[in-house]
Amino acid sequence: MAPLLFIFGMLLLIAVEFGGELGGGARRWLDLGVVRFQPSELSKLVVPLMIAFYLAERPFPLPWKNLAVAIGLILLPVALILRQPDLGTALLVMASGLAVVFLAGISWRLVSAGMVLAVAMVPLAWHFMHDYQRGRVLTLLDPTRDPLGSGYHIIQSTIAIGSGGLFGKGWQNSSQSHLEFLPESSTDFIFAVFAEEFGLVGCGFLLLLYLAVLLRGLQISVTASDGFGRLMAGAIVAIFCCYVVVNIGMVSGLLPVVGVPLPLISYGGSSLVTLLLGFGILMSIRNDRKMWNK
Amino acid sequence: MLKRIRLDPVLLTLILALMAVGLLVSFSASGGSTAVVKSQLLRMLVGLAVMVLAAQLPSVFFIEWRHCCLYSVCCY
Repeated sequence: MAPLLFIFGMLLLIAVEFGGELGGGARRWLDLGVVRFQPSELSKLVVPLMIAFYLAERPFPLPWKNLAVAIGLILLPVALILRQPDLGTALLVMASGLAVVFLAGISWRLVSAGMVLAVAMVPLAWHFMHDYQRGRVLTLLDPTRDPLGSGYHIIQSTIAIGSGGLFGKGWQNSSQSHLEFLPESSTDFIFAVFAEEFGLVGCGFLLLLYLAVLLRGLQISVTASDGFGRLMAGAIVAIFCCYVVVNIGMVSGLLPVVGVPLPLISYGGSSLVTLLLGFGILMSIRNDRKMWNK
Repeated sequence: MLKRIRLDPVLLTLILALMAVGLLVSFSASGGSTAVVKSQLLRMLVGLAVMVLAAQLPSVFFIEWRHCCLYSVCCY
């Protein structure tokens, strides 16, 4: 089933390439009549599923041939998503696939070499970036270089987070959002609204909830009954962590602004349904373990 | 019939808690718009339905659907 889902996901991405809807300068959505759907969101789940299927029964450490095929399977959807263009989702899809490869077992020497190669590729990546993507990176280093343009989001969100203080201003009392200073306050920047209303204490509580989900997911991964379950559960937890870290990092000005929602909290359909499908698979892996133990 | 639905209670509780926080903040961020909350609630219900369905499938289903049929006959 995993290969069929992977092919289905690829076909959807190709459909976006030829018949996707334009919005905000990018072609990312498919209009299904009743709803608009973002196929790249599905890739975040389908890619690790396919890699877990492919690597589940391979020997440790992974032979070069298998590793090359797995990297190819990751790069194919990443290239299609980069063409939309959607750098944030492409990076998350790549991270989710690489998480499975890492969990399947590769030597630390190879991991180190990969990291050095990634750093060495930065100038090349810079050359191929769109102007708005370069602007985001430069804005991260100095948000005040364009306070009313590319730096506006980060400046407003950090003001919102800081003005929340220790206990926050209280529910429905966030001035940054209600006076419409903060853009995308219901979607990608919802964490800034939360921080302004519930303060540092509320943010700590929210991070504890996320940590609890992470630990439960890792527990399911470690105790899975087979290799596929272990890899897939690990990948789902890795995707979830990437969402949280990237979203909170971008809202607090530590990472570039990319379109990544805060999991289970941001307003949005495709990412929510994809994430819950992932949690469903996680529960299915746990149920299997219970069944084998009986 | 409800007893036969297999879900992880710990994970489900955490997910519902996070969703409840999401609804509260969405309501506030949208300036008290009930339309936004209704729309978000609908998406959450669709997502939860997908999650419940996926949780009922044996994980082997995602590897090999024919294997899954055999597994279902033997293990249920």
